[in-house]
Amino acid sequence: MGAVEKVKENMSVTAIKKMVGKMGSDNLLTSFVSFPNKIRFETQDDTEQVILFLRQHPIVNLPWIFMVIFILTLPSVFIFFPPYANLPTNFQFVVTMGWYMFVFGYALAKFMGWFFNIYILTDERVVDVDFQNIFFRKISTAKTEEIQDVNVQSSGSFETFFGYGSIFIQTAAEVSQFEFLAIPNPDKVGKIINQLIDAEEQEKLEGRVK
Amino acid sequence: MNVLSLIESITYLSIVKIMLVTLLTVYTVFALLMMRQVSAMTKAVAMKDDYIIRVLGVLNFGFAIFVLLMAVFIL
Repeated sequence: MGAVEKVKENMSVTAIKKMVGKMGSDNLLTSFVSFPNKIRFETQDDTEQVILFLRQHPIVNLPWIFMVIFILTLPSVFIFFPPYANLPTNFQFVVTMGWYMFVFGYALAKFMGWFFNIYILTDERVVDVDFQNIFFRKISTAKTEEIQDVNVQSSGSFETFFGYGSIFIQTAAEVSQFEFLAIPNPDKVGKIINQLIDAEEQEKLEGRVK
Repeated sequence: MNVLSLIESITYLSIVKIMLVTLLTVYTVFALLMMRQVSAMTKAVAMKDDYIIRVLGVLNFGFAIFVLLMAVFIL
């Protein structure tokens, strides 16, 4: 990219920055932050700027956290039931340690499922990082100019109370639909996506498209 | 004769030990895969302080190795 194009690109990023502003917190467990510091993805271009970084609302973790707390208490009940009750002490110790290890592994897998399920909006494209389990991950991208339709959906008392919802983005890219599920502030995100589409169209009109 | 005595020497506890060690070995492989997946994901999306997540993956693998060795030597 030439120096002139770089300057023009910086101008459009500055304009988007002005429109969107700084929102959310930059901490490791954040689920909503605009213009995050120190977040980069593998296929990011040098001049590409991350506008929004999203994860599912932390409240979606509650079911598995309750489950972990419940199964952590189970070894105290094992002692009353065979075959555990009939085992020698050294066997009981190893089984209990193994149980806690499985619980830790389960909690870690569930946490990773939330932590690495990331949605990124840049000034150029939409990135959806799907991490369903430890054997499956998928990274899909679509250019902003390929976005055809954006639907914001927030339904149910829980979603309304905690202020989260889903966004469905129809695109002309290979992946026809991007689903940003259970994200915080879906209305704001929908608005930002529309602003990015407008900015991209403006760039096109001014002949600044890469 | 030897086979017969071998079969006779198999106790309930030795079966439990074999089952536990097999299960823990499978889990250790799973923990190793999880550690590698965490490493791959933190490379795919680099974040501030993401070393904490890598440490959790390593801890899980270390815990799995520790429990496996304990099962092999204590039981």
